[in-house]
Amino acid sequence: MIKVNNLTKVYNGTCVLDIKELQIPKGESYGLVGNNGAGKTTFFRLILDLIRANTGFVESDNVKVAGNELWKHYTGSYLDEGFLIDFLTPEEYFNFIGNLHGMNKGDIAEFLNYYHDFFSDEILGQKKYIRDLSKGNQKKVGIIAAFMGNPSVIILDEPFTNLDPSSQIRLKKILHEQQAKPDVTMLISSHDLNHITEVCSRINVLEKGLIVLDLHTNENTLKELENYFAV
Amino acid sequence: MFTLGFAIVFASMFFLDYFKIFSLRNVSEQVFTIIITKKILVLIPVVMVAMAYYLNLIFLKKNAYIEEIGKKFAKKSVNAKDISFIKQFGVIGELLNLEIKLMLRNKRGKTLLYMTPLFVCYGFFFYPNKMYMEMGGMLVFIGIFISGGFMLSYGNYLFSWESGYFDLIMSNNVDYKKYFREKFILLATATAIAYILTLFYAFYNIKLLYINTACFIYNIGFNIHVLMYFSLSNKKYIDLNRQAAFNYQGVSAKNFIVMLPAMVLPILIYSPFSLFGSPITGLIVLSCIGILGLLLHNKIVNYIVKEFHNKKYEMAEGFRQRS
Repeated sequence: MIKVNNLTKVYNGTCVLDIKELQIPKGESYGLVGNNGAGKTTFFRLILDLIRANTGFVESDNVKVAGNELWKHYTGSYLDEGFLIDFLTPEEYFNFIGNLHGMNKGDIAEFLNYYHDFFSDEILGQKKYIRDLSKGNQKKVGIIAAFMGNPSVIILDEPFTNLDPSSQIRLKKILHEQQAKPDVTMLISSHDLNHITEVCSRINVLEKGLIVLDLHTNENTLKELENYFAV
Repeated sequence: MFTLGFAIVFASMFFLDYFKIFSLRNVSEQVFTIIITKKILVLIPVVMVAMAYYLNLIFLKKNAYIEEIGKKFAKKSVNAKDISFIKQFGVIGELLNLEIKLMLRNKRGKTLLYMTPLFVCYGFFFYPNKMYMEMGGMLVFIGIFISGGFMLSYGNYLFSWESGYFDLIMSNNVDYKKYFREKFILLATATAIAYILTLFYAFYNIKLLYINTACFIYNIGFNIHVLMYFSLSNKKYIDLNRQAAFNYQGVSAKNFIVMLPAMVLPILIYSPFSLFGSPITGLIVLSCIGILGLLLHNKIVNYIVKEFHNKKYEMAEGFRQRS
């Protein structure tokens, strides 16, 4: 589904990402871990055509993402607060995103109802702008908006950060449900080794822009990751 | 609001002085002369400074806890209404709805909206002056400004207003042609409303009706496109919640360069005709340029969309620096 070829990104003379070849097949739940500055967000930004690659390209469903808009029809993503419109209420925001995906009022209402528990009464019906929500709640809004329109590719950058414990567990459940769908490809980055081994079937470790480990998750993966990062 | 009050006080002081009704100048002259002659009186301002310092200190001590100050300014209830009649126009309507909310719900946007009537009143400063009424070039300049005030201020930073969620626009399913058309419609409508307000100047002098109309057509046909094109070079992030007056965030020298073609070019086009005795022809030429721009609107938007795709990476990069 996602193909990476000779992808590099250079900032100020330093190469921050260098992936010669990577293929993420359809239906895979791909996890990305790495220390700060490893290049995870840069990689996701390149996949979403938010930054220009120095060399190489990313293909989604065999079409280059740069210079093409097709992938936007089936890709949902949330990286940081730059994806939120902070002067809207969460309802207005969901309506806006839903309309972009061709959902009507009924679809949106049904969609929001499904995630009612995840919102735990702090987000909907509060008459608050997104900018006045706590960081964790803002993140929840962004993550759920990424699921709108039944995307077949979902990209989330550190979704567990800033969430309270109950929300983290609920999010894991939501991600498991998405993972169970055979057509849905998920790309998730996280600092939490526990969560990522529970959610993702394949994990890559990124270090200074290079993929240093490519593991298929089994019961030993968590130990392997902990050993790798126990410097 | 404070700057408006300040401006009003300042302006009224100036007018009172000019019309010799009350001269602050004379009063201050007397006050300072007395202090210079009777040197002991310098203690009065010194004591005033000390008192001011002390009062400030007490105030700060009383209000040192931020959460207590917060309680005093209780959050107003949120006005989360949609402008429903716009929404029926599909994607463009949605985007328009969003952008209007952007202006209404942010300090910087609201300030710009409040300033727009002032642009319309700009004529009051110049039209009463008989000398200016004879200078065609000057009237053209004013004509561009009074209907195009909002267009120039907002259009300059067209994308910077949305810098807070530019990544969203880049990664989501937004039809860019519609996106640009929506921006055009927003600017054109604002300019049209301003123009209609300026129609009353025609009662003062019918000449103004012709000039302002020509300028209006030139504005929506030509200047808007120019502004849209140049706004692609704006890469600075704008925090909409910061106070707007004297807020130079996002302003760079480039912004003033755009002003030149927008405001000076029409004068350059008009003046030769006026000098050679046929100012009406000059106005017709300006109007034709505007109409031409409107006819070529689709082609121009397509071109701008292409440029957008070239520049969007730098724009996104710039907007991410939230300093």
